[in-house]
Amino acid sequence: MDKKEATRVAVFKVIVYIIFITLISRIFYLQVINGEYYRTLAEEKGRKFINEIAPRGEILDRNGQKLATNVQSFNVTYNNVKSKLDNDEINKVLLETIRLIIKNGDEAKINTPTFPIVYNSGSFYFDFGSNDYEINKKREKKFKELYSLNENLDARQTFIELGKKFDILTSYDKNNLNFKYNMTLEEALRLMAFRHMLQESKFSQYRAIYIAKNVAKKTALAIEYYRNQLPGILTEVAPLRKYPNGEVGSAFLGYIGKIGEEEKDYYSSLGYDLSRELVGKQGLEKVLENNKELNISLRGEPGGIEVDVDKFGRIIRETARLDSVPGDTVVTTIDLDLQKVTEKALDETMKNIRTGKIKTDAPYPNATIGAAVVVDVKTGEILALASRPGFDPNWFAEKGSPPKELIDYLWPQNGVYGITPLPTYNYATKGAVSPGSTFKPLVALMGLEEGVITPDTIIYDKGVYDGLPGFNGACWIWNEKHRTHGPVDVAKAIQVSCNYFFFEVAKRLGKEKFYEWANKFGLVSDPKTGESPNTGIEIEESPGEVANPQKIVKSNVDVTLLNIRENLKRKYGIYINKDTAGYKALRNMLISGQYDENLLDSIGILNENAKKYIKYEMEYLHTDANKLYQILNAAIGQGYTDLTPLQMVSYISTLVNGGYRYKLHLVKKVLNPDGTLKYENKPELIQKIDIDSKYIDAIKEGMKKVTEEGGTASSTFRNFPIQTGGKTGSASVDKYLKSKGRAAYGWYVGFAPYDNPQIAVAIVIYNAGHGSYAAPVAKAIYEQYFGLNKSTEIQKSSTFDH
Amino acid sequence: MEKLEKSILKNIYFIVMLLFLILSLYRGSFEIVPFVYGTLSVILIAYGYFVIKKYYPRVDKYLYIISVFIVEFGLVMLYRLDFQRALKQLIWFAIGIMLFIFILILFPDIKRLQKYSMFFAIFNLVLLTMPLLLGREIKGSKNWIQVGSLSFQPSELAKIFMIFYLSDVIRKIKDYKDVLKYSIPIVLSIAIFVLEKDLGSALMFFGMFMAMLYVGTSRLRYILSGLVLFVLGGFFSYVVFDHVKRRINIWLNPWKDKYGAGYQICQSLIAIASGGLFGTGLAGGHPEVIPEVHTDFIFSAIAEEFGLLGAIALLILYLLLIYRMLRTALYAKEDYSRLVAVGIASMFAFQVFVIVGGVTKMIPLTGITLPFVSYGGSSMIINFLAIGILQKISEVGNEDA
Repeated sequence: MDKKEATRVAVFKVIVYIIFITLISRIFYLQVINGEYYRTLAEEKGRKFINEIAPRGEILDRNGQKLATNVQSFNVTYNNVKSKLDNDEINKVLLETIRLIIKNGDEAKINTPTFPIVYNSGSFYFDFGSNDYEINKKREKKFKELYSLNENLDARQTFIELGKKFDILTSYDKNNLNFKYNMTLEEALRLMAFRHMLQESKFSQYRAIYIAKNVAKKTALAIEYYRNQLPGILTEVAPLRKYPNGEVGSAFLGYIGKIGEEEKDYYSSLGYDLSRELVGKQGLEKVLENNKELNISLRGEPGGIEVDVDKFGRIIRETARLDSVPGDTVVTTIDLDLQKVTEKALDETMKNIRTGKIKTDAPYPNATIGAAVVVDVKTGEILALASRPGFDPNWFAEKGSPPKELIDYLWPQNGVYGITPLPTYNYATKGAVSPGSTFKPLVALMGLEEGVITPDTIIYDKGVYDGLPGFNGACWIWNEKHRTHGPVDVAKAIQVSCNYFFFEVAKRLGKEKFYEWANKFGLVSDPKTGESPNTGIEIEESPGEVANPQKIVKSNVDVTLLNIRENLKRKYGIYINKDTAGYKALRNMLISGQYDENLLDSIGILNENAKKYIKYEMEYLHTDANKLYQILNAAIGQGYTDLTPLQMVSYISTLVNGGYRYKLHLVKKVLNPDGTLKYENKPELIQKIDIDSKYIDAIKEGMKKVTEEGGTASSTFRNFPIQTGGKTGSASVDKYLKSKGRAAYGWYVGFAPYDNPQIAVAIVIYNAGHGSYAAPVAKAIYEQYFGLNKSTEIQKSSTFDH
Repeated sequence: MEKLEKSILKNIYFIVMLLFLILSLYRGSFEIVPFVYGTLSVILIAYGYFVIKKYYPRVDKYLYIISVFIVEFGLVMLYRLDFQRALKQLIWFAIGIMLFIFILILFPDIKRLQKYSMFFAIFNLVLLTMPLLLGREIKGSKNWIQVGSLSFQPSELAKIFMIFYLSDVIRKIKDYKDVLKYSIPIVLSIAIFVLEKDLGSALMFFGMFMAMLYVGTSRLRYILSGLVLFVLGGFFSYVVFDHVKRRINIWLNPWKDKYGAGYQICQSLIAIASGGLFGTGLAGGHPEVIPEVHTDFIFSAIAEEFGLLGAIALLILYLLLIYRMLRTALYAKEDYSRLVAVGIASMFAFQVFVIVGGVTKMIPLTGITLPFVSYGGSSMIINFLAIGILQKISEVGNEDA
């Protein structure tokens, strides 16, 4: 034995002694010397903060009528005040509460936490809520990791494992599952879902979860009565979102819902209570949820109460209260009465078209979708915005998700595009479709402004257009009746919707001027920045574009690609699979128009002929998109042009107000919770377009004639007390779509009154067959706006009096 | 000698059965399950002792006796906190004892491992990088790997490998250059720990390294340079790594965020303090409010319910265990085994220091297990492996004693 080494071991021993003496001293200090101090802290152990959600900001119409408000409701919550409870304790409390709620007849009000195990007709399966297999897989993995479960367990096995974990199973075998407390399978699943919800909110243990929302007062009282036997259960009076007008305005109001899986990080960073708070999912509810840009928050500031709890988690007393701050009140530009009329008129008109009550040239049974927008041309304020059919936002407000039986209606699975309506889809701001002839007034303006025509220029309609070799477009009157309009000037051309006239104007304009003007009105992507056009509206929009080479290429590239793949396969035995990197690279190359031989080599296209062939197809794609005939089609609102009703109303409004393109907007004012003004949204000019007023007059003249004898909308506006201007549009669909039951989009755009325009409207009805059938909607809107229906009512009643 | 051992064991059995009897009775009526559980655990101990005494009479049986007594502390506490886990832990205990016996029977003489030191170094690093590649984050540390339904913490095994590696190379150290050369795997391991957010293991590795370096070379200079580097490295990680900064800030002022990041440590302090001198009594306190009380914070639960006296008793048991380990080191036949023994002793010493210091807020809290007491299979098995190795060394050492 080395003596020195022995010494060192001894020294080390001393170090170990010192370490242990230090530790013991520390514990002695904590437990005896300073123990009293920490024990007083321990008294506070039972002080908990239970947060209270703020009433959501109200949404009002321009006259102060309520579009969205809050009512008082009773909620039952479970407050996970003790961080660790034994299974038995939690299970009993939850189950007894649930049973108590059901006994009081409020079963429908019980919360349905998102839980991935579903039991249906005898078997268990997973539902992770996404249509994407990969996402579901990821969620399943995360779910199983949360409980350290084997990844390969199926739904039933997972259920059993969780049953064991939460201690709710007494026994199980292949066929039978037996549960504690005489639970049925349904009860067990429900209990498990709540346990899962608790598990998920484990890391935010001072927050409550909902057991039931909006229960009857009787139920709330019953639960209060048993409170001492239900540690952790609380009843609270909380605001519930209410939309007093039901479906009216759903297109712009949107709805609120549970915070989704993909939004969790974002909202938790903002301090949201993920398990309880509902957030805007669409429309104003969504964009104003927490809008930094506009400095609007519908959410408000949550408050809460601080309570003392005993060691069993029962609340002894309330010690402090922090009042919540309600969200901002938003006054919109909407006129509720006009909105109601617009929606009703759309519904009725669609019904009339479907049933043939409006005389149509053929039956149009699929006129099922419609949208309309009304704006104040002098400010850009949106007075009404409708997309029909809509939905009742109240369906979502209680639990954050609609009742099961409505899901198929709200999100149809196997519908026909353009026929089966999507009630949650905003056709007014997102439905970009061909505008048909309603686009013609803009082309007329282009022609006049660029001097290729004057108000007096006469063009002879010869039926089939002969000004561009290879192009054989014709006037509609030629197609339908083999007649022509003869000599027409610009006003007449608008009145009778003469295609020939506008082909000629477009040809004279040329591509550059044509796109330049479309850009001025915000109807194409910005040529410099590539930014897509927008109307300025606060809620989500998916604007369309006037046909332009980039857009045409993008629309056609997939067909070209399909041809290329077919031919490569057939002639050269080269396979390019969809969604591979090579496929995407090839697609990008076709879109860019830049031939890249290296790229073809790299994706395995080495054959010279094959390369030549691809180059040819690419060049054809681009040449065709750049051909002049494309703008001839665009000039009559067909081909690759598609625009939303919102964009159409923006253009009409800009045209008739003298070239002031205002930002279209829905928010008029924001009020503080105490009613004082926080912010006023002043009309904002996006662009002032220089337009000669005599040209505007010529176009307005033409649009007025549309509503007069000989015009396409004359039957609707016959004997109408005020003069208005308008334009019908019937954007036809191709044969394939016709075979599916589709028919032309019926458009009507207009403004009123003729002399000094105040409002502009754009209406589209899908599969309406003809634009003139949509005109009654505009008429109803004018009647409401100018108070014409009231006066007739007064007249009627006065007649009655006499 | 044997008489003394037997009387100590009898006393242990008595205390253990008494504790489980309390658990049987505290709910007001007699429950048989805790009693059966306690009996089973005692039978396990008796069985292990019987095998050792019969086949290896020369080994230091106190290593075994003290260890199992510490285990019983943990079993009682776990049973009181969470029956499911206690059941699993009993199984791990049984496996641990089996392993211990297997090592006695099958393990070669420790010094024969000497020539594999490079293998240990490499395998140590492989083990530690595994969780980075295929591991998953549990409780904020990415230091677990999962095989089937079993989770396994490679850092536990890595400690032993590192001890074998160091025991060989430290004796070859002649100058600074050697220190640098041989410490590469250690520095790498510590860096990996920091990346995996496993700061407790980083601290322990460093402590073990220093202890072995000192005993093996007796150069205080090395130790001082090591400490300086450690302070620099610590400062660097504080600045660079958010998770390190967070730990330190929580340590400095846990009350600032007592319902958030500081929740665990605050609850731990409150629990320990409410124990006082005599404790709240078994099952009389509320240690279950501390998150992770069954692993990292089990000492707080013991301190709450057994009081200062119980906590000191447990610490003294550890001290005795480490004392027996160092005694084994002193009596070891050759340097390699001696350093292995010192390494294992320092492993236990630092582990207890890091976790008990952590839960009492003496040093920043870093999650590692309390040896033999915390819930967990990896830890239990590795600890018995360590005791088995020491037992083996003691057998050789006692040959001519």
